[in-house]
Order: sequence, then C-alpha cells, then structure tokens
Amino acid sequence: MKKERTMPSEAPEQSAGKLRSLWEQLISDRNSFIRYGGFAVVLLVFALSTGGRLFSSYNLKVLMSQITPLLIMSVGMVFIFAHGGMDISVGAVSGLCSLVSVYVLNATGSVLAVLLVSILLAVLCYSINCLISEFFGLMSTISSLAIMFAARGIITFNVAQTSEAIRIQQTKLLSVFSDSYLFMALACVLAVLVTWFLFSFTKLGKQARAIGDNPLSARQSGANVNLVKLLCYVVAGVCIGFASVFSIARVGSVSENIGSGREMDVIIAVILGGMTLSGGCKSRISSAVIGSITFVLLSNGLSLSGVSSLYVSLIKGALFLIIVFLTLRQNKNVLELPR
Amino acid sequence: MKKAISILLLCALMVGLCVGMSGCGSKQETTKIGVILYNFTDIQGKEIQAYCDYLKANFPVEFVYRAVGSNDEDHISGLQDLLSQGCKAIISGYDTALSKSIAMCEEAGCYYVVALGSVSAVEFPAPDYQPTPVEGIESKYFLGGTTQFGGDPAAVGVAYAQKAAEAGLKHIGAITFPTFAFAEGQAIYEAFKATLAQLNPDAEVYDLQEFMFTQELCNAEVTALISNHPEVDAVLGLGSGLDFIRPALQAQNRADIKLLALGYNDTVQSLMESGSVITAGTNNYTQITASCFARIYDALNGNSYADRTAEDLNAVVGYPVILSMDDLADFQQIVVAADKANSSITVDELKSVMVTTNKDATWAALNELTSRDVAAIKAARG
Amino acid sequence: MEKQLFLETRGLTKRFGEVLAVNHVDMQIFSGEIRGLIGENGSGKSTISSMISGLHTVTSGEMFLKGEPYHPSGALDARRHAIVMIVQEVGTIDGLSVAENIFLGEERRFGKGGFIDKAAMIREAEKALAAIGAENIKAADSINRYNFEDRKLVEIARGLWYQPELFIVDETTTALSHEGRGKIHEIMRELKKQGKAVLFISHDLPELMETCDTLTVLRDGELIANIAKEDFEESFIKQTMVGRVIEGDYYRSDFDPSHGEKVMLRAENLTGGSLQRISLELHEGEIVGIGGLSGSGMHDLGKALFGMGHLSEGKVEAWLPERTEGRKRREASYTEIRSIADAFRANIGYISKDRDKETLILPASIRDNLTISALDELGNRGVITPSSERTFAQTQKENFKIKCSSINQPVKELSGGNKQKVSFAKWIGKGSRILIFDSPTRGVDIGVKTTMYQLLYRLKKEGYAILIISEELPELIGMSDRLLIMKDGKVTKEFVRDENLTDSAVIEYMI
Repeated sequence: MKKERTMPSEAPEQSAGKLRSLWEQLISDRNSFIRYGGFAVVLLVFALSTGGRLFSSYNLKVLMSQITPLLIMSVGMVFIFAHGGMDISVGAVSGLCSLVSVYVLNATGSVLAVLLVSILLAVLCYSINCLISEFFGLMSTISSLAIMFAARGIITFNVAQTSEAIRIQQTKLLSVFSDSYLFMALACVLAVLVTWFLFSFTKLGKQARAIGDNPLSARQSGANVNLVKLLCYVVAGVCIGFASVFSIARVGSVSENIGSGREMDVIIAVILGGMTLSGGCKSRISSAVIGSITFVLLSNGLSLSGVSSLYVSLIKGALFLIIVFLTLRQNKNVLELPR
Repeated sequence: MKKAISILLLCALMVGLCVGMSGCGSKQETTKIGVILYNFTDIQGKEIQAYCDYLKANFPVEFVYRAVGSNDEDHISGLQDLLSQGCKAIISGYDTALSKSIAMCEEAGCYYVVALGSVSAVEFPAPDYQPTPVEGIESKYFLGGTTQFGGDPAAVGVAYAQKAAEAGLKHIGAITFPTFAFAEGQAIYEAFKATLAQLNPDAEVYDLQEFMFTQELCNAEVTALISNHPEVDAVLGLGSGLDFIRPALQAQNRADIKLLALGYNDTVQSLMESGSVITAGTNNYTQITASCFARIYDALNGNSYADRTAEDLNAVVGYPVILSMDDLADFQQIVVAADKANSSITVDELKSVMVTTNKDATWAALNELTSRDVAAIKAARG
Repeated sequence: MEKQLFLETRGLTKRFGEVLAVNHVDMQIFSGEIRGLIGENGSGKSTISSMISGLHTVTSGEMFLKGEPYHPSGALDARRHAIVMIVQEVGTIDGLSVAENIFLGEERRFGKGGFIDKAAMIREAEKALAAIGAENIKAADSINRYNFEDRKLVEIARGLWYQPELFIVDETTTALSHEGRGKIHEIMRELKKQGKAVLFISHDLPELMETCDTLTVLRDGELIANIAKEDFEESFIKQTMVGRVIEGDYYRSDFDPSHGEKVMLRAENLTGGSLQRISLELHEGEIVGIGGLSGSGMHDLGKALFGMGHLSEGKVEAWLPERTEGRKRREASYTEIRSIADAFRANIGYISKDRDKETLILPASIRDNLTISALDELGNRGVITPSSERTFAQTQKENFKIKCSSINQPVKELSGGNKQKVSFAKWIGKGSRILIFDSPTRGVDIGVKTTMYQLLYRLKKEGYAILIISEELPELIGMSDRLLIMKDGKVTKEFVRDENLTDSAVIEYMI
C-alpha cells in the first residue's frame, strides 16, 4: 500500500492551498473547531442581539463574576472527565461547602478558615466519591449520585431547621471575593496555571488521559489507576471548594436549592469548549477555559436579549445535544478504514 | 501554533469590534425601570403592571418585568439581569437580600425601592438577636420601603371583627404568612381577637397558624385546623385568603367554612353574594405603584422632598377593605378600575405630589394621597 | 476435478482517501480449489477479500460471479450470493447463546406467532455444529463459556450454514492453536471436495504451502504472481513477496545458547489461575522461549512474571542492581514482584499478546505511547517538559526506524509492524533490562519480522534478559537459547538451543 500522506501543498497557489488546508485541519480537528468556533459564534451573535450591551461596563463586571466560579470548577473537573469519569455532584457539594462556609465565617470571622474548610470539605466529598466507586466497582456516575443526594440532604435539613435564612453576618469579610474583579481575574489565572501545569507537565495529567483512552494499557504501562483517579478527584475537589467561596460571597445566604444544576453548567461548559466527555488524549484545560467563557456569554446574552429563563434551559440542552452529535460524527466521517 | 495565533487574532479583532459597537448604542430617551415580583399572574401583579402601563403612557419611562423566586440567589440573579439591561431604577416587591440588593444598585448607579413591605433600619439577626443596623439603608440610592394598611393594621382587624360578630361566627381559625414576610399579620390578628372578644364573648378565636407561601403547605395548615377544631365555622385568612386559603378549604371539601380574607380575585363577587366570603381586601396597588414611582421620578431628576427626613424610611399606602356588596362595587369601580385614568390616583394628582412637577410638593402630601380610603377617592372624583 | 471459474476480478482497484490499497488486480478464483493469498502487511490482501465479501466498496474495476457482474451492496448481499468470510477478530457476541450467535440476524426463520422457537433454533444449531465436527460445543450454552477457538468454530458453523460457494478465511488461523488450525484445514478440504471455492489468506507461509492448491502473491496492492502447487518453494515465494532476496538468516545465525550467569528473573512454584507450580529462571543475556498450545497457561505466565498474576502460591523475584532510592543507597538484591509497580521498579517490560488492547493506547500519539512508561525517568522532580518528551520520542523513532509521518501521529494509523516497534521502543527506551514479549511478531510482515529478530539478538548480546512467549514454533526454535514447553500449566520439557532441533520433536510435548 503506497503511503501517500497529504502534505499541505507548497505549490503555486500557496495562499489558497494554505487556506484550504487550514479548513481541512479545522474540520479534522473537530474539537478545536468547536472550541474556538463556538466561542466566536456566541460572541458575535450576542454582541449583535444585545446591541453591544453585552459589553457595557456593568455587564462586563457581571460576566466576570459569573465566569470566575464556573471556570475554576471546570478546570478542576477536566481531571475527572479526562480519565473517563463523570460527576454530577458538583452542585450539591459546592452548595454544601457554601453552607459550611457561612457557619465557619459567622463563627470565626476568618476568611482563611473559610477557604481551608471549604476546600477540605470538597476534597473529602470527592475522595469519598472516588473511593466508593473503586471499592464497590460502581460507575463513577452512580457514586457521584450518592454523594449528590447525601450533600443535598444535609443542605435541605440544615435550611429547614431555622425559619430564618442562613446568612453571612459580616458581609464585608468576603467582599474581595464578590466585588474585586481584579481578585477574581487573578484567582482564575491561578487556577488555570496550576491545573494546566498538573495536567500537561506531570505524570498525573498524562496518566489520567491514558486511563481515559485505555485503562488496561495505562495499567500495564505503569499507571496506578486507582491512585491516579483519586488524585484527579482531589484536584477537582480543591477547585470546587475554592470556587464555592466565590459563589457564596456573591449571594451571601444559603437556600435549599443552592448550587442546584451547577453540574450541568460545568458539563455543558466543557462540551462547548470542545472536550469529549469520554476523556482521553484529546482532553485539554483550554476546553474548560474557553468553554466556561462561551457558556457565560451564552447565558448572559440570552437573558439580556430578553429570552425568558424557561427557554434558556431549553436552548442550553439543545446546544448540548448538537455539539455531542457533532463530536460523535467525527468517527463516522472517515468512510472506510483499511482492515 | 500558527493556527492558535491566527485564531487568537481573530478573537481579539472580534472583541474589539464588539466593544467598539457597544459605544455606539442608540441613545435611549425613555428611562428603564425594572419591576421584581414573585409572579405577574395574580391580582397584585396584574394591577401593578396595569398602572405601570398607565405611567408609561404619561411619562418618558418604560418598564421591564422580572419574576423571581423567594430565595436570595434568585432575587439577586433577577436583579442583576435588570441592572444589566440598563435599568435606572428598580421597584422590588420584597426586601429579600436587601443589603446586597442596595449594594448592587449602588454599583450600577440605580435607585431601589421596596414596594410591598416596610423596611426597618435595624435588624435582629440570630443567634444573639442584637440590634444591628441594616447595611445600605442610608444609601442615597435606596428610596425606602412602603408601609401597608395605611400604617394602621389594627383597624383592619377591628373592621373584620365587627363583620364577624354581625355574621354570628363563633369558632374562628386564623392562618397567615410567617412574620418575617408579613409583619402586620400579627397586629391584625390581635386586634381582631380583642375586638371580637368584646363584641361577642362566646366566640372563640384559635391560635394563629403560619405557612410558607405554597399551596401544599397551606393545605397542611387548613387540614390541621379542621382536625384540631372540627367545629370551626370560619377562617381569618390573612395569608392570601382567596388565592391560597379558599382553595385549601375547597380541597378539604369544607367550602362551608366562611372566609374573612385578606385578598381579592375574580371569585370574590360570587363568593360574597353566596356568603362564603364575608370580608375581603387588598393593598391598593395603584397607590403602591404611584408612591414608588413618585420617589423614583424625583430621584432620577435630582429632586427630593424638603420635609422628608432620614427617619421617614417608609412611605404609607392604604388598604381598602370590602365589607359589603356596596364596598365591592366601589372597589371594582375605583381600586381595580380597568381605566387607570379613573383609578385611585390620576396623573394630575400624582404630578401634584412630585417635586419635579410641583416644587411645592411634600412628603406628607404624597403619603396622604397614597393612603386615601375608597370613600375619600370617591369624593375626590366628584 | 473440473475447475470452473467462480469469481473473477478485472482491474479491481481500491483507494482509501489518498492511499492506493489495491491497484488494478486481475484475479481468478476457481471452484473446487483452495487458493491462497499471501503478501506482506499492506499488500492489499485483506482489502481484496473485503471487497469480495462486500465489506468495502470498490473504487474502480469489475467483479464477475460465474460470468455475471457482481456488485455486492454489503456483507448481507454477498452472503446471498453464497460468499461467506470469516476473519481474525472476534465475530461472536457475548451474552448470547451459541445458537443465537449462529443465527444472528436470521431469527425470523424460527418465528412462530411473534415469538422465537428456541428449541427449533437449537436443533438447527446442533446440526450446523455437527456438520463441522464441533460436537463438544453445545448449542444451548451461553457463548461466554467457550474460549476464543471454540467461538471461531461457532463463527465457522454460522458461515457454513449459508452453504457458501466461496468461503473466505481471512487470517483466521493466525490466532488459533494447532488444533484449531487443523479443524479449519479439514473444513477447507471438505469444501474443496464438494466442489466449492476457498480463498485462504494467511501470514503463515508453511501453512499456506501445505493446504493450498495455488498461491497468489500480492505486493504493494498489485498481483505479482500466481504460483501452482508444483512450484511451491519457500524462499522463492518469500522473495516474490518482498521483491528482493532476503539477506542473511531469518532468525539467528548462531547456535550458541550461552548466556550470562546472573539470574535476572526467577519464578518459584507459581500456582494460581491456569498455572500449576511452575518454576523457571531467566539469565542475563539469554533468550528463553515459552511455547505451547493457547490453553497451556503460557500467556498467564507472562502476566504473572510482570506482577499481574493472581497467585495462590509461589513467588516471582527479579534482580535489582545497586541503586539509589531517595537518599539511601541500596545494595543489589532480589526483590519480589507482586504488582506491576514492583515490576516497574525492577525494570521489567511486558508486551501483551493483545498488544492493541493492553499495551498500546491507540488513539494517542506515538510520542505519548513512547513516553507513558518512562514518565519517572523523563521527569525532573515531577515536571516533564515537552522538549524532553520530544527528544526521547525522536530518539526511539530513529533507533527503531519507526515509519510514521511524525511523532504526533496517532498510533492507530500505523501498520502492525510499526506498532510493534513502538511497543518495543517504549520499554527499551525506558531502560527495562528484563523483557517479556508475548507473541512479538503477531500480525507483523516478513520484512519487519526480520528486523525484529535481528534486534532481539542484538539485545541478547547486550545483556538483556528476554522471554518470548509465542505460538509460532519456528520462531521459538529459531530464536531461543532455551525453549520451555508448557502444557496444562506446567513445564513439560526444556530444550537447549541445538542445530538439529525440529518442530516435531517439540510438538509432542505440547499436546
């Protein structure tokens, strides 16, 4: 079989050839196409439909405050998706962390204590999630369901105890998390740098991706599968614990359904960022970053354009299906593979 | 690598384009005012919207409506949406997340007024219940709350007790919203109980029950009432008597139990005719909306009342009660009139109490106008 | 026997995108003969069989079935034309019964008022199984109970049930034991006797020479020659396949079984799974071959030596040279291998028989596959830079002459031989001194095989300890310093490298 690989033509029509090959590259690398293309489309569509209000100085601040927690959670969750895991407890766990944060803050007044407790609690929840899955041989979705119910139950129980809302007393303490846009930006940058480093330059990230593609081979190539998965969950826990401090700072009080639905936001965000949910070598931190921004632009843009919140969920769901469909099609398009 | 750079450049270009475009937004001539309520489908929502339409026809304003849930998170999201849309003032039904809301409005340079309840400058949070000042209350962007019942909730209790005694009711239950949401409920109940005790010593008024805003919880309270006191013959329905308590009674197949309601909807006419409902009433939404609008309009134009001090945190609006079929007729004609030009407050009357349109307008005059009872309004119409 | 032309192709061509897989092939298949099809990996033989059996579309050219134009729209259509193919990979479905597997897709035949008459299906299945002499397989059993070979037989039973006029065997025998192969040869001969046509595709030249009447040789997508049985001669055929004279010896040219003194890897009384108190020693600079039937336990032995065994008794030990662990300087010693992590630390490398499923990560790049086992070595205090990965991967690519467009190419796009090179490179690049290779040249074409044997010999000379587990007897005899034959989880005989060692002498200890 003559192996004639397509080289981008260096012949006469250089620019046309290069343009065509760029297009072909984009199509074949579907994930990148969705990631950047999706972002561009959403940006353009909503910039137009809101008459530029999307970028009013007030709205930019709103965007920043919405992007920060989502982005931090998503970059952490990439570790779980990369190794082929799935988690739907994000919302409940982050809500639980917010709840406990309020108690800790009211009791001690220390922001550091809040950060520590929030992060440790999230890491605990996620570690238990992972251990249940490994110990009982359950699918990661099922064990996360268990954690989700447990956490949600604790929240509901606590909220029902008092007729008053569970509220932060000294709101000034966490104001840097809700009002300082510089701090939010720095937090995002920090989260991205740390997770990108762990994901791309350490054993953890590489082995996680290998496990996502083929756990058997990863194991025989020296990866301690159980340990790697646990560490991935720990990283995710840290990010979620950190992000929930931003969430609670913004609202200041805890209601029964705090954080509900967050897990779907994270999943849709990474999908919009071009990540395949089955993980593997194509997983990237940039999916979470770009995807989170696209998602917030989408949400925010829709409500600014006057779309009722009922339709927003519908639209998000439809988008989710379309993109999953597009990434699936990738395999079908390569007509026939030689046997 | 080349691909990444070219895509980045493309993005930067687009963002630049969009930001540039945002600067060239069309200049608005009308000011946007946001309205936040739990829903717009009940009498309250419909009335407020109707009066807002009337205001829109007469002033350079437009209204944006947002229905939100009762918890802080929903309220803040809804508020954020309205602020992002460019509202310059917000009429909020409730004082949910008040400090946070005021802070957000301050940041956006937007005025905030609470329409369906009074606010106090001091609160008593758990666990020590020490009086602490509410943050943000002194902000110039906060235009205050709205005291209902004309400032005298007990009067309603007294009036209702009189009707109860007339109707010969002996065993009366009482159901209301929790105190944090409906502070006046307690006062009305106490006044009712005391008056009835005087007028009819044989009558019994049971303890006050509370429920948290859903039909299911209301049903639960009604069920409890009936099972604890099977002889009950009437309910003092302070928690949206017609929207919640009446359906609960029907669900229990006890439509025979009479209702002394705070509340109003389309069924009131037939129910009063048949005697199932003895009394009804609502806030005067026209007055509420007008009061809020007056404060907002003056603030937007940089004016304020000379006689309004820091202590005058809340405005006052009236509460028309319906004690008879005649009252009902007046109510329908004036309070919930379809044509707002003939309703409780006309544009001219409103203009006379706003500093922007009448430099002699006073805070006292505003409150007097907005707490007129039906008789007074009727007289003013001539 | 009258040989009638059954199938003819004229100018048959197939392109996959830019790649020309089959180039204007004119081929004839006659009824009543067994025609072999041989060629290196990439020669186009599987593609041709795919086109004939309807799995691939034809890019250009014509096919004629008994003189009539033949354009199968798919495998089902081909089946209706009495052309049936069995392949190398698994074609049965777990969880279904044997009978259900045989009649997959044909359940309607047993339909009775909306239900499937299971009893009737089982009866038919038993008939089909008896027809191929597979009475040990019970039609009502779940197919999960049967091993790979028996499942292949079920597939064959299914194929023959359709009464094919042309029966294509595509590389099926490669993964079977001698027994299994024997059964298939029987079936092919029976079909020939009945006047049917058989197309037999395989890598195994001796097998083809033994069973076929004619042999068609392909190279680079073109039909080079049709060789009749009279002219069968191994080196001539090999030359035709490769297009050049093969220099030097295929396996090793020496007969010197000497090796180093040090025992690098030893197993004592390993018991568990299919292993029964098995012991062995592997020395520095030695190639030990392990042969046997597929059920002998030799594959499990390989796994056990890599720390993946489920042992109830016995232990595996490996020699660790003097080294520094953290701050401590450790003496050279034997360390027990109980887990993959232990094996790693002892510098043992393992390539599984199911290389694609267990050793390589197909969707990942060549670079990722090469570096995945060497992350500790590449990392500087836990940080692994892309440049260190790139350098490492490039070095291995050059050392092993891996044919690819770049190290970022996904491994799944490589040919079998190059995939095997990646597997080798991954362990050797890491510095593994003890290598356990299970079926190292499976699915690899002759040209690459030669290179690999030369490489293995070179490694032996450099002091590596190599264990080769293989079902290809000639390979084991050709390469091993010592050859251990396994049967039923035990070592039945040990042979030392000798000029005069023959296949037959060895086989009797296997069966």
